[in-house]
Amino acid sequence: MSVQSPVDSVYQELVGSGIRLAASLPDDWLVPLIDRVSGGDDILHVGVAREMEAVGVCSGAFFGGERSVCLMGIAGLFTCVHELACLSLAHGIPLFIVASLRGTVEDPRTYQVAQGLYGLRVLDALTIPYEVVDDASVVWKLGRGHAHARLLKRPYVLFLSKKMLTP
Amino acid sequence: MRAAECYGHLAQRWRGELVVCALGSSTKEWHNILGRRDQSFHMHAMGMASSFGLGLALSRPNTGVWILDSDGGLCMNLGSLLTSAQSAPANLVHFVLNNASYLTIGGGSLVNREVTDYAGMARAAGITNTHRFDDATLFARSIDEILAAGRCTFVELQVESRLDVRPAVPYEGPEIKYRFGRHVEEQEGIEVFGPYGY
Repeated sequence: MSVQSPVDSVYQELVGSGIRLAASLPDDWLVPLIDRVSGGDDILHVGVAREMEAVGVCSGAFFGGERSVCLMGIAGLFTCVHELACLSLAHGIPLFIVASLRGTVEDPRTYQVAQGLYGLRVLDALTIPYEVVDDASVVWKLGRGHAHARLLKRPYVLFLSKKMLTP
Repeated sequence: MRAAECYGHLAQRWRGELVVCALGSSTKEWHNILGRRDQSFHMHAMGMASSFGLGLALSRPNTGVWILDSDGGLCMNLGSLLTSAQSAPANLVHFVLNNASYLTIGGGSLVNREVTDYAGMARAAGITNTHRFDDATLFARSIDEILAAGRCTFVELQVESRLDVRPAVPYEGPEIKYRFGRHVEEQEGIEVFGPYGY
C-alpha cells in the first residue's frame, strides 16, 4: 500500500475542496507543492512575478465564480500588506492563502529570521486570521480553508510547516 | 487627446464586457460616461487592476474583460505585464491611460514621464497585440479591429494631463463588491456568492 506524501495530501485536499486556480510565487520549501499543482490537470496554475499579484488574480477569480488559492512564502506575504488592506479588507473579498511558515526553529536560513519574528504579528495587526498546519492529522484544514475565507469575508491564511511541504 | 474622449468611444463599443477600473480618474471617468452602476469593479488598491482583471478573465474565458488602468497604477505592478503575457487570455484587453501624472492628487509628475513607452514594455514582456494612440479619432476608428483580434491585448492611450471635475463614485468597498458580484451572477448565470449571500 502506498502512503501519500504530505505534499500529495495537501494537493488532494485543495482539489477536493474545489480549488481550480492557484496563483503562486515559490520559496524553496514551497517548490514541491507548486510543482505538484503546475504538473497536474486539476488546477489552473498562474505563476506571478510578485506575490501581490496573486492577491489580485485570486480576487478577480472570486468574481468569476472560481475557487482559488494563493501559494507563497511568508516573506512574500510581507510584501502584500497594501493589497491585503486595500483590496481584500477594504472590499471584504475572501482570499485563501497557503504559505510556508519560515523563521521557525526548523528553519536554518538567516534571511528568514525576520519573517519568523514579525510575520504573525503583521497578520494580527491586520486582523487576518491564520492557523498552522504542521501534522498530517490536521491536513483536512486545507480542504476547509477556502470556505472559511468566504465565511470570514477576508483573507484566511494556513501556514504549512516544512514537514507538510515534503514531497 | 482627452481621457473622456477615449472612454466615450469605448462606452459606445461596450457590449457587456466586465470592466475593472483602476483607482483614480479611470474610475470617475468611466462611471460618469457609462452611467451604469454595477458592471464595473472600482478598485480601491492602486496597482491591482491588472492582476484582478487577469484573474477575472481566466475564470470567465468566454466573456470579454476590460481593464481600465492608469499609468501610475501600472507602474506599481509592472510585473503583471509578464504574468499577463504568460497566461495571455484571449478575452483580456488592458487599456492604460498615460497622462504622465498623478492627476487625482493634483498632477504630480510620473517618474521618467518623457520617454516611457508602456506599449513597448508590454510588447517586450511578450504581449503580442499592443497599440499606442495619441489621437482620439484614430483610436475610435481602430477599436473594432482591436477588440476583434481575439487575443490578449494591451492599449496605451496617451492623454492630456487634465483634471476634469467629475462626481465621485457614490459607493465604496463592500457595496462595490456586492453590486459587481450580483451583476456578474446575473449576466453570466453563475454563483459568485453562496446561498447565504457571502
